[in-house]
Amino acid sequence: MKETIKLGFTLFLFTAISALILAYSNGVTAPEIVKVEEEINNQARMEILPSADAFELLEGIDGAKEVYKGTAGEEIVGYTLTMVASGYGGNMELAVGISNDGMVSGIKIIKHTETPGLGANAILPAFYDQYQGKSTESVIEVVKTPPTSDNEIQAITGATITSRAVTKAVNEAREIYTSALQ
Amino acid sequence: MEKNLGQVFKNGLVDENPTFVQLLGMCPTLAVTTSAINGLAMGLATTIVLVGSNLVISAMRNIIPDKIRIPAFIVIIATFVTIIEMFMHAYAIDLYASLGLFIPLIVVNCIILGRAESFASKNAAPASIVDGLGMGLGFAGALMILGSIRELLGVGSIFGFTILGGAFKPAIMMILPPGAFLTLGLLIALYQHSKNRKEGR
Repeated sequence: MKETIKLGFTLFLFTAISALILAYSNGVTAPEIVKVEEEINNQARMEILPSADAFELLEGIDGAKEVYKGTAGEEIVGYTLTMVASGYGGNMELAVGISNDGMVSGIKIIKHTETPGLGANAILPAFYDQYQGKSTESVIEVVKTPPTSDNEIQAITGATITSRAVTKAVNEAREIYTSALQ
Repeated sequence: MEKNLGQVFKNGLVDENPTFVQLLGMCPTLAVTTSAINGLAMGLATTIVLVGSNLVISAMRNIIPDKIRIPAFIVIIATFVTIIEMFMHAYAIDLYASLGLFIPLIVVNCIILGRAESFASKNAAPASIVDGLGMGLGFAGALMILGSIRELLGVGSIFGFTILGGAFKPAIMMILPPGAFLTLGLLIALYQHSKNRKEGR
């Protein structure tokens, strides 16, 4: 009995010290992580809506995690919508840029836990560049062979679920744009 | 107990190679070796954690009661991995972007716990560091070989550089799970074969 208490207490000490170390590390790194993430998101917005030079967060738009209005000077040039898609390995976060002429100006995967070598290839330009220039007028579809019409995206080899998830999110962004922003 | 450091290193790298001989850490081995760079990155991330956890556990081996050593090891390893992940995320974002995916996998990698239990808890710190390096690099090397073969046959390139030209039709299966099992099985057979020949059997 006495030994059990002693062992339990020793283990408690280990976990308590670990918790202290982790709490301290978290305190040091958490603000830095927020800053770094913010910078990455800002860069992502610049990339997918290159015509904008400033972004402003829009509140109260359902369906998207975040919506930013992109402006160049006084003029609104488009929007970026951060969408959540459910991929093969869990939730993915991607930003979709839509310019004022009703075209997808670019997309970028911000966060994902897809399988390396398969679904993770969604972060390569060969896949995501396909969305650039797609019209917001028609539904974007996924095909497994080289696309034959304007609104088709060729799926990543071996990662149809990922390709469909990304496309679904882009389609949702498209709908939000045409119904609430345009 | 004094150990020859060179022997300890070679032991991890070749004689008791974690992948080909001990068959430890099969989950990351099979899952992430879809390309050479993924295999190498996972291996190196594991090496860093292995060296660190071996060092800490070896230094604390005399104050950890024998009966609760396993939970104590797990707490130490998990703490170590989490700290690495947080600092990498905050200060080395590029590295985090490419390795971040693998870090949570390392906690459950039984190589780490295996070395803590069978080596670091019984040996002094310097030998434990060398053991971590040897085992880690042995793991990294094995994963890189596996990744290279699968990438070569499945995509036609190694480290992203195209090796097999346009006439080669990649066998997608090689970067899918069956390719992992096939390649690993054949590599283990090859490894054992050369080992047996060396021993004159």
